[in-house]
Amino acid sequence: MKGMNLKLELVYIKDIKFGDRTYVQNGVLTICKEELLGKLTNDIFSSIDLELARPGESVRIIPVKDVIEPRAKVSDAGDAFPGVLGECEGVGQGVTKVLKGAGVVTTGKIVGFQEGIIDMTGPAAEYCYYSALNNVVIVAEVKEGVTPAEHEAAVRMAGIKAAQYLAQCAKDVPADETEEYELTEPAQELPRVAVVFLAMAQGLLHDNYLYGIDAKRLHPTLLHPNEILDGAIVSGNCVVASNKYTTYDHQNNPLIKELYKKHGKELEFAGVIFTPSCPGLADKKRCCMAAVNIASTIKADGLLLPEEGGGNPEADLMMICRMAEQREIRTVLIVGAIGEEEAITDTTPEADAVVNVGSRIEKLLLPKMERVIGHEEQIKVLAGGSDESILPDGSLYVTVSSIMSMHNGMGMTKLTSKVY
Amino acid sequence: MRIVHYINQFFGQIGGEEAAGHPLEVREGAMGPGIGIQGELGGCAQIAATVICGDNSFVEHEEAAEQMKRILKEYDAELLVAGPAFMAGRYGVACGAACKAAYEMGIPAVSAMHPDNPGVLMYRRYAYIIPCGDSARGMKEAVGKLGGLIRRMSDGETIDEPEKDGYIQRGIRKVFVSDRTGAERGVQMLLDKIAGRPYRTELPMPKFEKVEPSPAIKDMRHATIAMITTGGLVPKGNPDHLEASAAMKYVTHDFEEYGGYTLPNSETCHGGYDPVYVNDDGRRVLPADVMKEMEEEGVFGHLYDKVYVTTGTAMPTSRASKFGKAIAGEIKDKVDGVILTST
Repeated sequence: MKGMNLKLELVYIKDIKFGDRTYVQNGVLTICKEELLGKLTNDIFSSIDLELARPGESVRIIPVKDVIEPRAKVSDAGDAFPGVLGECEGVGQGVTKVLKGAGVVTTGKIVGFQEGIIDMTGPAAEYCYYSALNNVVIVAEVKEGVTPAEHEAAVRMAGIKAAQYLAQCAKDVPADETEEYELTEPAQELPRVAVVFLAMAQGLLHDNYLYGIDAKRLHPTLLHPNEILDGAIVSGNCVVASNKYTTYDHQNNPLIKELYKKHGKELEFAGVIFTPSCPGLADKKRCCMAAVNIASTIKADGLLLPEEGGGNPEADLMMICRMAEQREIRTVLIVGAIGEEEAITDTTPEADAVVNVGSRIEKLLLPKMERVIGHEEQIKVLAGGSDESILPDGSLYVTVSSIMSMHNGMGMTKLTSKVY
Repeated sequence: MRIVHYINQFFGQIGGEEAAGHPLEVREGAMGPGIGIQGELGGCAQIAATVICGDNSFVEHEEAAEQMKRILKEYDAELLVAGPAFMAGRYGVACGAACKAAYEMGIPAVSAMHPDNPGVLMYRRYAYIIPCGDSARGMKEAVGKLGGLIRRMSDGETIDEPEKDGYIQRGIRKVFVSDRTGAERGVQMLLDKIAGRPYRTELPMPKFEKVEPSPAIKDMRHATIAMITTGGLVPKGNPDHLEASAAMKYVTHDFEEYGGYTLPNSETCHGGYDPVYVNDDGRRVLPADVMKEMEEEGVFGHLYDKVYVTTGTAMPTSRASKFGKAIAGEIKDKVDGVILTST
């Protein structure tokens, strides 16, 4: 049997600038602003502009909606954002070009309350891996009367289109490094490990898209990990900024990469069970049961259960954990903490193995930046901010929940917390 | 390291119960149990002063904590040692309050008490409290342990593991950087769990306080019912600036501010759910019109005019229960029952 083989051809981007045409040379991404903006037009935008934010610059981007890694499919068929921009062909197989070290960031007036901050320098930058990217920032504003859902969708699509365009312009640039992903047949019997990948499916700013399909309309489904690494999931979700999975995070899912590293040596990677995390109890029960049924079907010995968001999805986590453990499928949960000793909103005695990716209630003083891309005053209404967040000297006093993906449930960072 | 030591009237050799009202006083150098503690410390730290106060006096006089702060400042204290208080309840509470005063000045504090001393439950947050025996018979052991901990603190060691470092968990969450990513730790923990190897959870499941329901309301026809919501429903413009997430406060609004019982002048500031439908009709979170109709039909006596509102998202349960107690205090004699709507 022939397995799926995905080659990610990484082109390292060390700097970005505007120029007459869009190309990559010697690690510098030059962008033709007019051409890129021409790709992003949408009738509902009252204005759209591009700005650049490089690591170490005194720049704050706020409110950030999504971060996307520029990617393009090099193989004959398919697209780096399948089902969203192109057709669903060859996903998780063939060759995909990646502009490693670059990011597309979307901003503009607030849609809800859940968008976040990226500081390119200072204390927040220490915790935020997007601060280390060369970011092409899309600042899109919408006309009066546009609904929040239309606003969110338009900005999301602009980000995806820009990411695709940038990488397509570098399709022929030779790779600096190639990563290869294939689930080869292990030579020995090893524990079979799967990820139950809970994806928010709860409405405006709480949605995810699998092959362009709104996760609210999906039943749990088994995915090959390569599909996720190759762009099958696009984020329309902001939950709380620090707990958010951006599209970039899906493209670079650290759990999938870690399981790949140990595949064939310490474990056999049995797949990813994409599971919508719905708001209502009946849907939660259906999806959680189905996720565990899939785990049984693929004969998983263990499941990793990362949490996207906090609070509500803990009901899903605990249900899945309990059902799986009853079937002797071992589980490890990955969550962020809210509060001190009572740091989670739902519990089950079976949840005795939990990885903690930090605490949301910490406060951080963010110094004033020389340049703000977006709307800084909106920190007052963002989750993690308050009316008192902007101090007289222009610095921001916020809880870390406003910093993009700092407590990412996929376990992207080294942060953790404990009660002492 | 300069230490100020707090002891009560008994260990300060002023007297027993009859001297419990002895006012706070300060003496130079170590005395009483402080002499033993100083003996454990060698040259690494000195007890610069001893504060003696009657147990009743410290607990009953609010200004005692302020006096304590002045003394800590005057002696330029780098550490407060309180007790040991063993199982003595008022002494434990006074030691805890003294530790809290130091904590508020950013000065670390250590104490020793029996784990069941009420001072532990009330004040463990503010000090490293070493568990000790229930009476002064345990003095030698307690003093030895206090000395050990103080020596480690004066060496600049990080004390943050209750079991290993031998103190009662303070209940403060602290963020730190691990040597591996969450993904690496998660995969390793799962492999250990599958293989039956030992593993250690990074988040023990909390044990939530069970809330006893109040007895049923006997006479609904004359009952006053209030509405409370964690759904963040505020009058348009969010006049009191309720936070979208991890709210630090609750706010109150009367129905007039919402434009009446159909709530035309309402919106949500809640950062944890899709706000479109509630912004379209606030009654989806707060069914005030139905309550008003029921009041008019005589199902219950009176709808309380004030609504209590907070945002439930990212709300630590400890803060939520504090809000609950405060709201209950405000409406206790005015309201017979509450409808609590969440999201």
